[in-house]
Order: sequence, then C-alpha cells, then structure tokens
Amino acid sequence: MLRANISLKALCLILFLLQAVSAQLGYQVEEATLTVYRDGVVAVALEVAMEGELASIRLPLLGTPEAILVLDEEGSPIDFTVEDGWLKIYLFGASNLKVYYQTQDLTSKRGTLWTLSFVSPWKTRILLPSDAYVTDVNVLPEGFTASEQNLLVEMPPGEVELSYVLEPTVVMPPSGGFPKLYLYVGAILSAAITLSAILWFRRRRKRTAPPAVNLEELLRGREHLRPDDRELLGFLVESGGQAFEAEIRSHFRLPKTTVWRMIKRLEREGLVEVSKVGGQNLVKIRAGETGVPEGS
Amino acid sequence: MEASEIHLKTLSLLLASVLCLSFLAGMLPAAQASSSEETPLAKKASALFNMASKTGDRVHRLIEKLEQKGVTVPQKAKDAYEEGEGFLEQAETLLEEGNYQESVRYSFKALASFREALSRIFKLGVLRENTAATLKEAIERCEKTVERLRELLGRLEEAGYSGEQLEAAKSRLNEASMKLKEAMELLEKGEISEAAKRLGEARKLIAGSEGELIKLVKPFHVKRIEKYLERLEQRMEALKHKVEASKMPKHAKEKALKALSRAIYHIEKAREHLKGEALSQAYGEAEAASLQLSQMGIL
Repeated sequence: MLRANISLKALCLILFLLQAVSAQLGYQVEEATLTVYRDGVVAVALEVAMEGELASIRLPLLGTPEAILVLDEEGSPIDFTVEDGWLKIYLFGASNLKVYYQTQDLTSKRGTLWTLSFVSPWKTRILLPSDAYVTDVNVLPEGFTASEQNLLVEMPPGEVELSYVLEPTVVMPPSGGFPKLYLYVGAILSAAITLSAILWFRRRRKRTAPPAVNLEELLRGREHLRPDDRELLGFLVESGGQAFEAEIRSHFRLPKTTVWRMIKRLEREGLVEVSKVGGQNLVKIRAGETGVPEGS
Repeated sequence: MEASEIHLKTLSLLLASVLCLSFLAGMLPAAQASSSEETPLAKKASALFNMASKTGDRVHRLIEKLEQKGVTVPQKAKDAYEEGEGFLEQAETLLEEGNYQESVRYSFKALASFREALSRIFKLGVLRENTAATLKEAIERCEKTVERLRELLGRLEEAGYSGEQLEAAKSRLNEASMKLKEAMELLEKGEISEAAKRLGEARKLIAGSEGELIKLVKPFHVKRIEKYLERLEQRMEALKHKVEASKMPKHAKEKALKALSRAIYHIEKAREHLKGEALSQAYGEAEAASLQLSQMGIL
C-alpha cells in the first residue's frame, strides 16, 4: 500500500513538473543569429515572440554578454538583469522582443584555426566572414549559403562546434632592399608583359584555324561521362579545342568550384589538359584526343 | 479491498493513461518526422557538400594565389587538395544518387583533406592574418552600434525626452562617429596602429553614451510597468465583480476573493516602490501579482 502510494506521488510529481516546465517557457525564439567577427567577437541577435502577456521571461545566454540591448516590438528599450548565465527580461506585456548582445566567449583560436563552440536550445544562423574557410563541423548543418557579405551556416539546436580559418594575406620575405622606384617600374613592366601575352595569345587563337575535333568520336566509349561534362567538351570543341576557365564559367553560369571539378574530371579521363596563360587557366582538349584519326 | 485502495488504483490507472497519451502525442510528430526524414537529410547532405565545396574553392584559390606570387606550394599540400576534390566528386555523385549518408561521409573526408592541405600551406610561413581586414570589420561593427544607439535616442526624442543627459549622449555618439570615420580613413592609408588608436577612442565614447542611455531609458521602464499594473488592476476589478455576482459556494468565493486581494496588495506595493524609484523591488511585486493571477488562470 505504502509502495503504491509513493509511486503514485512520484507520478503526480512528474506530471506536475512536466506541466510546470511547459508552462514556464511562454515564449518562442523565432530567430537566433550569431554574427562572427574576424577578431572573435560574436554578436548575438534574437527575435522572440511571447505566448500571452507575461511579466518577465528568462533567456539562456550564450557566453558572457556585453553591450546588451533589449527592444520591444516598437523599438522601445526593455529593462533586464543578468543572472548566472540567464538574461531576465522584464516584459510587462511586450509581445515581441529583439535582443542584442556581444560576447567573446564563444570563439577560441589555436594557431590559425578558429573554433566557434556553444550550446543553444534553438536553431542558430551563423554568419561567418565571407572569406572564412569552414574546415570542420560537429553536426550536419541544416543549410549553407555563401554570399559576398558572408557565409551563412544554419545549425540545429544543441551543441555546436565549427572550425574555420580566415583568408590570410601572402607575405613575401624581404628581397634585399630594392629601391621602391625599381619595384614600381618592375610591377608596371610585368603587368604590361602579361597583358601583351594574353592579347597575343588571343589573337593567335583567332588567327589559327581551329583543330578538327570530332565530338562524337571523342565521346565514343565514354558513355559513363556525365551530361554536364559532355556539355563542357562540346563547348571546348565549339571554341576550337580550348577555352579559358573564366570563359567556361561565364558560358555555363556555374560556380568556380563546380567548373573546376568538371575540368578535373575530364583531366582524369585524359581528355583535357590545363595550363597557365597570363595567370589564367587554359583548358585544352589533349593532343591526340581530337576524336579525329591522326593524319586526316 | 479497502475503498481508499480502489480509489488509489483508479487514480494510478488514470495517471498511467495520461502518461501513455502524452507519450503517444510526443511520438506522433517524431513519427511524422522520421517518415519524411529523407528530405531533411538530403538538405543537410547538400548543405555540407556546398560547405566543403566552398572550402575546396578557397583552398584552390589560395594555392593559385601563392603560385602567382612565386611561392612553391609543397606537393603534399597539392595532393591533399586533389584528394579532397576527389572526395567531393564522390560526395556529389552520391548526392545525385540519393545516397545521402555516404555523401555526408565523403564531404567530411573532403573537409579533412582540405584541412590537411591548409595546415601544410600555413606551415610555409608566408601567410599572415589580415590585420587590416580585422580592423575594418571592428570599425564597421562599432558604426553599427552607433547607429543602433542613435535610433534609440531618436525614439527617446520622439517620446518627448530632452535635457542634458540626452544631449550629452548625442554629442558623445557624434564624436564617436567622427573617430570611426577617421579610423577608416587612416586604415585606407595603411596607418593601422593609428587607426586602431582612433577605434579605441571611439569605443570609450560609445561606452560612455551607453551609460547615459541606461539612465535615460529609466522613465520608459517606469511607464511600461505602470501601464502593466493598470491592466492587471482592470482585470482584477472585472473578476471581482464576476466572483461576487456568481453563485459559487461561499468557501470558494471567499478563496477567490482572498487571492484577488493578495494580488491587489502586490500591485499597491509595486506602486509604492515606483514612487520611491526602487524599480527592481517594483518589478518583484508586479511579478508576484502576475503570478497570483496566472495561478487563478487569469493570465
């Protein structure tokens, strides 16, 4: 009887706690954005919607916050206090909130490698500098977009650990105190030489008759090639057997990496070769791979 | 069997069924999610592939940049990059075939190869952090903060606030803005340490105006809580009339009215604290009143 009574009490307690926990929240974090700056500072921006008219809420903080600002739906400031990793916000009827703060606790650096780590109860949108290289991530991202401004990584709730490297600058060792004027003259000369080389090459390309390349022959026995790789070969054939990587990119309107992988696949097939001309990648159908029998 | 024991068993059965139902209710969305799991995994695998692909692109560009500058990139770094590209290609094929788990595995392998390539490249000692870019971003971040604080000051002015504190905050922000502009100009000229100095000065000014603002926004907080207390009071009045006019048993009526008077007590206390400018105590009392009402199922 006593045992039954105890278990019943335990059951009641569990039910009560479940009820209490779900009732306590009373808010929904609709968007959590973490903007990661190059110096390791992370700006946190939360958009919170209330469920009902509440006096106050407690939001878990990601790191030790600095420069906190809480605004209501009209952009008016709302009072808050920081309590042991929580941000207590005195809503008194506000229905939507915008919370901003900065923290330096979420990033660490080892050598050139930065690591962003935190535990979030919500999905997070991480904005990394546009020149960041993501080198590792502990969970599968829910989304990834690269724009000119930044890289957007969408992460699920829970523990997040993301490693990245920032685009470095190339620093050449000093070359023995060359006078500045010579350096300038040298730079101008080399630019002029490169430019004339490109122009000369382009003219030569126009003047020389395109080598006879038979696409059908070229593709014979290579049925495994992907349709996009075939299209690239077709484009090369139309361009007289060769084209710059940049030309291919603008023709197909594809990202650089995608085009590069297409070229690499064809290179592995032994169909094309890549050489440097004036600092640009020139993709050429390999000699002997014209699809036309030699001597014809 | 005693009557109380039967009652207890019925109760346990009832609770157990409630628990089962909540468990099943919890399972339902999970079941729905698992049935449509293929789509999220496809999305995740594609996101990871795109991320690895971007990293590959960057490593490729870095190798090109180094070679253009006449730096000999170690073959092992190039091999690691090539290996990564190979893994990416497999990841892409698997993604197209719908084999998302394997595609994820290959994307992670590609990332590991690119990491390897990068670490070998960084060991060359010809790469340095882009201090100018870091500083530029820090200046821009401060400019955003100034903008946000200016907006807030604008709201205060709209609401009819004026006075020395507001003017002081405004002039500090203007000064900070000037310093940031100077910092950016110095940075463009390549005078990094001077630019950093100006940024530091601007930061101090921003912190000062933030301090002014904290004092300035106090009336906003007072107004907010006063309005809230008014709303609570109106609700309680309405409820009090309802309870008094209702035909509920006497003891229940007395209990409800007692709870209401407790809430009224907290509201009065909150108002007293507001008069004494003790904002945090006023918050505590308003919260207590709110809790009292939510326990009665009003809020």
